[in-house]
Amino acid sequence: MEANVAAPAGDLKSRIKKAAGENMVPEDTVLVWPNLVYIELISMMFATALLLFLSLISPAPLEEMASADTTPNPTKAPWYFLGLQELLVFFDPWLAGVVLPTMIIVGLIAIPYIDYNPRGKGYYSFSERKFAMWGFSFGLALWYVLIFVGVWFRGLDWSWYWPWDDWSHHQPASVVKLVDLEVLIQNALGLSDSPLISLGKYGFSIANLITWALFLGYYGVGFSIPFLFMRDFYKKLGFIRYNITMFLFLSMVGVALKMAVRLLANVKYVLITPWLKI
Amino acid sequence: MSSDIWGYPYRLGIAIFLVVITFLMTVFFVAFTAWLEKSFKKERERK
Repeated sequence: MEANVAAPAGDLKSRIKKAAGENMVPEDTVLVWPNLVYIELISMMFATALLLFLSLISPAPLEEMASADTTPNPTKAPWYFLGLQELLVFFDPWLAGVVLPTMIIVGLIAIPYIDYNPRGKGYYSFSERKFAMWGFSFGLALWYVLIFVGVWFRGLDWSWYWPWDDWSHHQPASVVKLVDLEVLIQNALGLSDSPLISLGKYGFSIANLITWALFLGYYGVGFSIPFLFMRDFYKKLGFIRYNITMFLFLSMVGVALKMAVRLLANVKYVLITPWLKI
Repeated sequence: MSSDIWGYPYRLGIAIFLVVITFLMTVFFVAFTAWLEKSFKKERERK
């Protein structure tokens, strides 16, 4: 034991190699300390110096003292929260403000437990982790786009303004009326709005049940396709990991789909439940 | 006025804009990761 402690530093590398097996350690392997930690320390000092310099030449955009008489229009959150604020345009506040952020945070925390693919560990790989890269890139892009929209395209009354619009004038009151999907289905098929099934004080009309079927069908089809046609993907992940991954992935794509449905078909909510509206 | 699909509230324009910008940004991120992989591999081979 004592002999090990006293061993010269150069010997440490060969002992690590021996312990890990010759094939596992490439020839150019270096130690975390000091090789990596020094670089990180120097980068941290440069980043701090850069931030200090930027804060000196560009003051914080503080406005006048807050007053209940002159509330700003629009009231914008800090830029990093504008994605969330923009989501409020498309979703119920309970979903946009609580459920979706929680799912994003929990999903990001869960990634190391769900994605245990050893490929790409210790080296950079796109070709061996295409699904992970495409999926994450899409989510990141969607988030950035929501922030960009909040920062650069929302003006008075949180209305949409293109850069060439006159930003000092209010946009006209919208002539488009948003309708719930179940009302659209009800009118299109000529269905009655009286409840078909009652659950306590809540009633479910036929159109409402159709929206339930569409909603559950989206997840059902989404879960089934890789399960049936990409067996390797399912087998690699296993039952629990597969279901968590697919739920998070389909929910992420669902956010974009709901936004598209709202913009293109003027649908306010795709599913109305006694507990929440989606 | 209501037949002007490009007029306010710009729903079609916003939808197309969001789809295009999200697609382009996703492709940019993926292309960047693919380029990183290639350049790292080249560097390793050079060593």
